[in-house]
Amino acid sequence: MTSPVLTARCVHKSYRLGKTEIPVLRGVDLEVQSGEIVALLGASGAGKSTLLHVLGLLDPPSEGEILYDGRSVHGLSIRERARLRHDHTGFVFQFYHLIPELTALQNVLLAGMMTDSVLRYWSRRQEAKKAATALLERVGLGDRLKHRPAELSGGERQRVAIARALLAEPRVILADEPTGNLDSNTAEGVIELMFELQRERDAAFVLVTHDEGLAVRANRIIRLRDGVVVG
Amino acid sequence: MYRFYLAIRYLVTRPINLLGMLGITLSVWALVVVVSLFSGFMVVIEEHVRETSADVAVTNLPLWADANKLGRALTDDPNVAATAPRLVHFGLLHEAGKRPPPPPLPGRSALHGGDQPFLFVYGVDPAQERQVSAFDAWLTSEEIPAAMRVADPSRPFATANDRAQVLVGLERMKREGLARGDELVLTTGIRRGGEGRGEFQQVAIELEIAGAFKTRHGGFDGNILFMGIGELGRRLAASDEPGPAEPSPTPGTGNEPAQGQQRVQEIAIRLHDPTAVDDTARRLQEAVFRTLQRRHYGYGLVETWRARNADFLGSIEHQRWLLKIVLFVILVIAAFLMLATLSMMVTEKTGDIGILTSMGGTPGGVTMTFLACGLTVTALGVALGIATGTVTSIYLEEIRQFLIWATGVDLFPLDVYNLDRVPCNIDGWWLLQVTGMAFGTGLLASALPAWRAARHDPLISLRGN
Amino acid sequence: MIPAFSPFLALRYLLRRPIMLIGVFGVTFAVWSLLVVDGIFTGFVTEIRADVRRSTPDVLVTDLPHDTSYERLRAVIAADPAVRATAPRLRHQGILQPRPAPRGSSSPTIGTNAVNFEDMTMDSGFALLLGVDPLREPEVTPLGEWLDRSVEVLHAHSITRARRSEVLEDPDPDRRSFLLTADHVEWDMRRIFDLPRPERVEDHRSEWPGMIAGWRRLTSLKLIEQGYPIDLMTASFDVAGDGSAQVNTRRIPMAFGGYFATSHRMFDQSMVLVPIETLRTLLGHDIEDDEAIDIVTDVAVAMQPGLSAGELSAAKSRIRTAVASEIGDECAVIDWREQNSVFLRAIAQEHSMMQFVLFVVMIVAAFVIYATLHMMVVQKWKDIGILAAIGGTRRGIGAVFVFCGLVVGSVGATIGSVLGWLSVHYLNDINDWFHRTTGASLFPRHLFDLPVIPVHLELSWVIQVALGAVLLALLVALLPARKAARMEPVAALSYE
Repeated sequence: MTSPVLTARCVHKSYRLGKTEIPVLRGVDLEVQSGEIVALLGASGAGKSTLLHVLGLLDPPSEGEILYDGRSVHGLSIRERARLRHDHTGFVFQFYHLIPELTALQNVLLAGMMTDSVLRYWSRRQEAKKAATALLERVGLGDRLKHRPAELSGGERQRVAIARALLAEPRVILADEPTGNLDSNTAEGVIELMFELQRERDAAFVLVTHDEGLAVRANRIIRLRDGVVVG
Repeated sequence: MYRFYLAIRYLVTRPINLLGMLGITLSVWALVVVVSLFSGFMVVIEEHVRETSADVAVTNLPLWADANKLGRALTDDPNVAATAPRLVHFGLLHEAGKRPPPPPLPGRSALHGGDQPFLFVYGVDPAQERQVSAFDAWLTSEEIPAAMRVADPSRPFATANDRAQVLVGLERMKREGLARGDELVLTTGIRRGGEGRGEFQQVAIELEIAGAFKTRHGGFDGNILFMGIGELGRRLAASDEPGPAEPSPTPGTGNEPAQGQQRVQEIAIRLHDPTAVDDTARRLQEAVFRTLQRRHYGYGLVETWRARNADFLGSIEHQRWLLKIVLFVILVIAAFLMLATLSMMVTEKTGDIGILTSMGGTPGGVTMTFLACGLTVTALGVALGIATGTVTSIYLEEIRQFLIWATGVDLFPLDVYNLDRVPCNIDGWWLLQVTGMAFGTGLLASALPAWRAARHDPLISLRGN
Repeated sequence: MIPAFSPFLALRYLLRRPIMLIGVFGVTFAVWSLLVVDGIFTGFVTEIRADVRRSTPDVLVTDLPHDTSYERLRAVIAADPAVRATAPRLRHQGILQPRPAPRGSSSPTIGTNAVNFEDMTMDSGFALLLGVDPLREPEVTPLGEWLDRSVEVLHAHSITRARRSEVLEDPDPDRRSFLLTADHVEWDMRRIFDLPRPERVEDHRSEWPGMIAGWRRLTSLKLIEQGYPIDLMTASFDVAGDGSAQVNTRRIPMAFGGYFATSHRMFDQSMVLVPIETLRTLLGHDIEDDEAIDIVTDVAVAMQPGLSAGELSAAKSRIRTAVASEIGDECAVIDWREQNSVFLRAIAQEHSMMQFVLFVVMIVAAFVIYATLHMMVVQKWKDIGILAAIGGTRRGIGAVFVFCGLVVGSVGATIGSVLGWLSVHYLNDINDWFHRTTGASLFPRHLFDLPVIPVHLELSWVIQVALGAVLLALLVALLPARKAARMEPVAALSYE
């Protein structure tokens, strides 16, 4: 069997608030296989988002380690971590986090510019544009390419965010309550789309949510309580 | 109330607004320091000019003018405190028995003369002169070393031999290594006969140094000699009227000025009230014309001290004006700075604007909040700028000394301007003007963002998030 | 390597944010004012320096001891390969007095003394006499240009009767070396003033040596007519065996020979060119006397064209050594800058004051850029987190804001440079227009005594200022950029 795309080993994470140390994660072990959908379920404050950030290398763990494809990311330079973040994982946030100055197409394209130098990007800009347009068409926004986030509905914004996350063809998609801000109809559409895309691309999917109904559709449910996995 | 409360809170929580304040501070500081320095320079020069000029002077008196009658006409004026006759001549000064070096090259010598062999000779009556100018103080200045001091300041021109006694500027004496009792020769010329229309004849006057004088005006000290008025008149007249010398009293004894034929070219006047100098000068001009009974050839002109130095003072004033314009540029850019920070704040605070309006704030109130922000920033900036600017101006000399000590760079070479310390004049009126200008620009810079804030639709900002 | 997203995002940010225009305006205004003020000021300084330069020979050998002979020095100095020509100079001083006109009453009299210390030579008869050899002097001094210039200047002052001096045009070198006026001119003058003269004009030979005065002396001489008699009064020194000197007062008749103008104010006010032989005679070294020596106080030297600063200073020290060993005494060899050091230093002083003010202008302009960028970083907190989440490196994120500063600085500097260049170029037209419409003048000309406001703006300086502004913008952009780069992505994402 191939090594899991994403592994967390005994991850601890605590934050300092003044003089007191607040533990958020207390020894989380987790493995995500390629093509698997994992739902992280837990009450507010259980450490779901923190775990997601740690998994996505946005936040280094206080203790323990993260492995991508079985290789530890420990000791990598900032630049290498940024590179991994770009190539290996894609983020989808609850609040979409699009850049308001950019159109839908530009927001997606931005993900393609992260690791290329100016010259290199310039030489393959047509290709990148084609890929981004195709992705946006795939998520059903073929007619919204030139719209800015402010001119898009919540569902549309999240679709743009999904397209952005997928542009670099990551192995894992980390989604932090992607439907938390959407009404149920729109949410359903977005979830359907995400699962479809996940199947198409055979990417792993880590979904943070507190919605049991959504969680049961995953391959596996991991419950977090007070920073530890409970089942 | 909430306006000012919020304004202060906004400012305190956003350190970037300090930058706007810093911009204002810097521009106010520069306005204060540079203008103070320049004004100080002007004031010093004006003081120097003032010290060596009588309040008012009647100049270009013709030979036939009756000085006594004129003097009486002048003292009739209620504002005239004292008058003193002067005879003004000129010449080349050489040390007896010594070959002088050639005159200095222009551009390599002092800017305002003083090192040329050419001088003006003032014939004065010490008793009357000390009534109109600080003549006594010039002779008894602390800076004059004992060997160069006048023996008896009350009778500076008294002499035991037949050489005319002369007072020489201290700097010139030091430079040329002169001492009391040294002999000098003044080479000059005078027109003989017929109302200044006759032959121009050379005259050599043998002089002996009676002592040094010292004013604060380098140009005056360097370019002036003092002699007794009677003595100078006699020496200039000597070859003209070969007969017996005029029976005039020994010059400088403090007696009545010479009689009838006493040559007088200028009458220096001191006023009771120097502030009314212009009006008095106008009245005196009329009096002079009445007394002379002629009004032609530009004879008997009454000039105030300011008018006599108008060209020079005017050119500095104009330089200061240009400098002020340039300095104003800084204020304009500081206004840009405030515009930037306040606009940003308005953009950031659109949410608050919605909240304020929903709580019953009016557009006017919202405007005022941001205007208050701008004004507070301006006020702080102005206060700090004026404080630091004033302190910097006061300690400019010390700062200069420090910089010379620390870096060897002299920011303000004083010797060029004949000064002994960096001048500084902090003018309250100018500080007020700067404050006004700063508040004007500050108000303009904050009005625009404030107006934008007031026009903001509160619903948009509430819906925004 | 700078990632592609940095410039891309920077441009999008700028275009969508009118507030950044303020930064651009700030830089524009600062660059514009810097160029205009410096353009005008440098114009004045350049003009003054050119005037000073015109009035001064390349190099002057001076501070020579009394009674130095020119012939000996000439041989020594001319032997130097860097020297092109030399001319003798004899400095002295005197008092000039035009003869009063025989009829009418408008003649100037010396009895009216306006004492003016700042221009002390202006209204008095005092003159610095510069004895020159009219045959040699044109080789080291642009005398012809001085004369042409005087006509221009006097005409500009509405003195249309002024004519170019003719004393240097006499074909006879002997007459030219005494700056003699034409025989009939002097004879006419003698007739008008009723002075001794032959019966017929044909029998007369001019005797009065001529003088060429600086044009600013016009106010005291009040003369235009060439050939007008002037008395020169001065002192000479008869040296006794023991070295002590007797001061003798001398008066010699001379003829007014026209004006020169170098436009160097101090020079034009105080200097009067007289034939060197006249002065030598006055000082006891008559050319007819076999024992007389051709005394000089200075030697004016023209150098070979195109000498570098190093070569010039080497040549100066060679000349100094050679002259010192010839005369057995110290002397000074100074170039035109050293000769006018006091004067030039006063100008440099004002210049540095102005530059200080302009420096403060730039600082405040830099503040504007800093403030706008800083605010942008604060507002873009969340974007920074997003960029980090999708794989942006710190350097790339910082570069976004550096690019913003760069663009603001570049655009501002470009517009400011163009505006500044145009304002300086059309300054005189603007001033005229302003004068016509408002009646007030931004730059009162009478103060400067110049027909136009001199401006001087070198392209290299414009480029320097523009580059300086961009560099400054870049520098101040680094601070907010660093702040952005150091941002913790998680904190940024959760920032509300």
